[in-house]
Amino acid sequence: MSDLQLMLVASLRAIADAGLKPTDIDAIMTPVMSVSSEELAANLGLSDMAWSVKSNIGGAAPVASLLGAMMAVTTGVARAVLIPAGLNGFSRMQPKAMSARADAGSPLPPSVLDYYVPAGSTAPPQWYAMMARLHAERFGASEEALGAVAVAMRKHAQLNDKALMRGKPMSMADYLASPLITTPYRLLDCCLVTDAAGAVVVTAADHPAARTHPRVYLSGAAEGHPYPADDISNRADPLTIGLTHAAPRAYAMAGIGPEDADFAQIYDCFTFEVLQQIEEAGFCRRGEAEAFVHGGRIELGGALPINTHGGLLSEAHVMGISHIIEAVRQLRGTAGARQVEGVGVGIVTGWGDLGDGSIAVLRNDRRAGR
Amino acid sequence: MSAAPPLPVMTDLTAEFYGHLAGGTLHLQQCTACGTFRHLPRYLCPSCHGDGWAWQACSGRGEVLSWTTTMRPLHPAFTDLPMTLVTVTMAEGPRVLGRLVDVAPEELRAGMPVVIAPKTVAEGLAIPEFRVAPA
Repeated sequence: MSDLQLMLVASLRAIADAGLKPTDIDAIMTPVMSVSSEELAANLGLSDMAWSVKSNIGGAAPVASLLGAMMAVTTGVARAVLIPAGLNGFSRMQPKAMSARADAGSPLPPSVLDYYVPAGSTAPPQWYAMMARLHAERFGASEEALGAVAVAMRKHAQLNDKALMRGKPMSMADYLASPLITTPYRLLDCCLVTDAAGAVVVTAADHPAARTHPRVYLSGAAEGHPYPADDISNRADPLTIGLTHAAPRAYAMAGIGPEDADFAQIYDCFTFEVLQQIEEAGFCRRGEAEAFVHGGRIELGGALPINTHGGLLSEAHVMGISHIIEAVRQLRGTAGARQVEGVGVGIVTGWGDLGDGSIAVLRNDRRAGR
Repeated sequence: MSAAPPLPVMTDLTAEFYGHLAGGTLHLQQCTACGTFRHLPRYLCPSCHGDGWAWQACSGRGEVLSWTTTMRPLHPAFTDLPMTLVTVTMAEGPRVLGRLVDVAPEELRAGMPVVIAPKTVAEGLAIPEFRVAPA
């Protein structure tokens, strides 16, 4: 299936889940990659699309799109915003598909194509490793801290029947035995590559669709960028990422802080990025993430369960839209065997490109607030 | 046998940067208004927004800020592994990314002095590559 087909399947399911018809959708926020709002609208029969926009920040785009959708429905520009995301990442990496796509152009920015790739820095783990290494220089780091993230995601995936890694449990010993890809990342520090899609519908709180399920409110959302966003090397503080700027804005908007979260879904392209975002989102101070993730604290039953669906590392790579969907399931109380008890607030982050960030604060009626 | 290396698109400022490097010396943009060096190449000075620049010949010396050693192939053109990539803070201030050759991974450390040694990858085209600076 193409990206578009995958996204259409997910879109129809999300629209039905909201108790709506496709023609009730009047705005589309498209993620990056190959698909346009116009193609989606043409397939969905949207004869009057009032607004469309593409968020071009990689895996940070779905959560950043929640901010755009919130702005659209609260200003009255749109009533029901569709946010689909997904890609056939596994199929497109097969040799036959690669040759067919050779002329399709690269999604990478000129900074990367002209100054990283020629040197051999061609892939995200090589770019992000520069931050991981620097963080380790400043604060020390153990392999087990990275491993604790990978092990927690895999443990959660055992409770998710949609997770690719269900039935394939992994121990810390398994993690430490996996081969190094580019230091400090091992194979099991890297997210999956899958064919998958998801979709979210956002309406105003007084929209009839908002009564279809227990309400889940978007209390706050924000986007942020490191400076310069297109070059990871030349940053005054190389550990400051988009989320560093975004998180305080989202918390101020929501009137809810990281200390209020009952769970978090953290964009987990690689394990270090989870540690870094735990710090930059304010769940602990910079340099403290290693202690934060030890002893099962980020596993179900721990102080702050993270990626209860298994994440990109062990469920599937759905560009972060599955992190939003899982947060909604948790806040509706429909997460089944992996349900966090008594939840009122969940925090979701997105990470894209060279450290662009996004964050959303979600709550249900158990927690009062905006 | 590795695939042909991916090359920069030689237009505008990118062509200017690599054009100077092909001569054997790293040149970085320096703002003619406030004197600030910058990299990657930009049309405006991010410090004073001046739109004039000169390509200044640089010392080629710098220190390793961070690194990764790639052990498994991630691109068909880069199969001579392990390969160490470094972010280098040049003496003039800006940071330049490149491969560090002739170093054992266990010898890598932050602050390691290195010197640029442009590597010719195509006719008339050289990219930044680094060597450990002689003591």
